[in-house]
Amino acid sequence: MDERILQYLANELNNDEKLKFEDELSRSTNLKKEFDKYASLNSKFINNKKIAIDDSYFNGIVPEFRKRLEVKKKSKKIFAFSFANSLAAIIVFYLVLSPGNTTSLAEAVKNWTENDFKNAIEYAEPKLSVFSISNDNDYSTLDSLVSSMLSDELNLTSNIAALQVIDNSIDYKNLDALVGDSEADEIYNKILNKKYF
Amino acid sequence: MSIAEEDQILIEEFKDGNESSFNRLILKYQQKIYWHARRMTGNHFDADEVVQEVLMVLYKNLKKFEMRSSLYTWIYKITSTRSLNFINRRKIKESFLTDDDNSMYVTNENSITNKIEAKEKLEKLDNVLQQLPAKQREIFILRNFEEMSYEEISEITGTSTGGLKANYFHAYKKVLELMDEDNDG
Repeated sequence: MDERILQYLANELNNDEKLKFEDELSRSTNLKKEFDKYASLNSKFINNKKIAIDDSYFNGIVPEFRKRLEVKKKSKKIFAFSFANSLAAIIVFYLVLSPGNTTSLAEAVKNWTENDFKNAIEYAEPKLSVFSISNDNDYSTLDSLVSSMLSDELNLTSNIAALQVIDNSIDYKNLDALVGDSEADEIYNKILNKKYF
Repeated sequence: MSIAEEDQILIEEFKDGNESSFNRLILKYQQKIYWHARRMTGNHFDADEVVQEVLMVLYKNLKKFEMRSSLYTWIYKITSTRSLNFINRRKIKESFLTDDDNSMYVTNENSITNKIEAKEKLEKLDNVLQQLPAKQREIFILRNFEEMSYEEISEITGTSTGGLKANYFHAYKKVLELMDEDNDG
């Protein structure tokens, strides 16, 4: 096939090329025959592109998007919050239990049962308001927080590493100072009755 | 006011926390996104899924968008990438389906038009386009349907303009020949 046929139909020949092609077309029966065939198919194709559509689908795109966005936001919040709770509970327990302990956090919690973690979370939950996201739209912060927690959590081998996981602005080293005496006693009593390690 | 200026205002408003500006951007571009996804994927359900994916990506990344390229080009780039990813995922999924599953998948086809003639045209077009390799289809759609320049297509696809022209005319010829085969059948 002469390549210029499609270029002509697509209007991609310049003026000189166009005139030259039209001239050849008027003098060559074979070229004219081939051109007519593709011109007819092109018309059919163009006709097929014209489709009358029903707009009702498009009216539903924004509501559907907003619905999905809401679900995504909620699930992200729940995930981030529960993950932060679990992690913070572990850290809180570790620090309250043994401030001078040289044992790594991973080592300390490796024998914990599911119930032990549950208890740790129950204890820490009221103290975790620092993890709630104040601005609903600030998902970039939430994303980076969760990402860093996820990656770092896998390598929690020391007290320092554990502290770096969440937020350097939170003074976990002195967290025991934030826990009142009665609360500390209550924690110790609870811990003494359980075999965590 | 130009389209780019109008987009910029809506983006700035969205960056300042105005959610309705994002809705306005969706309303402005949703048809373009849908039709590009539809022509790429070849059916309504898949296109609908791609549309929602694209909107989610836009929502997440629009605040970082710096207007170095036009929003229009950026949206097409996201839609193209998402469509190609979707097609790849679908191929993998289809390879695990039995013949019965496959036939169910096809007969569940829906459309965005109730008119028989329009449905037939749409189906024919979907079938013809689906016979092009995905990357060639992308180029053909952007040039023929969206009437983009080769420079714009190059920006979206990352292919050189020389390569694009050759690919486009190869696809164009194939599409017209498939229209012919369809006529014979």
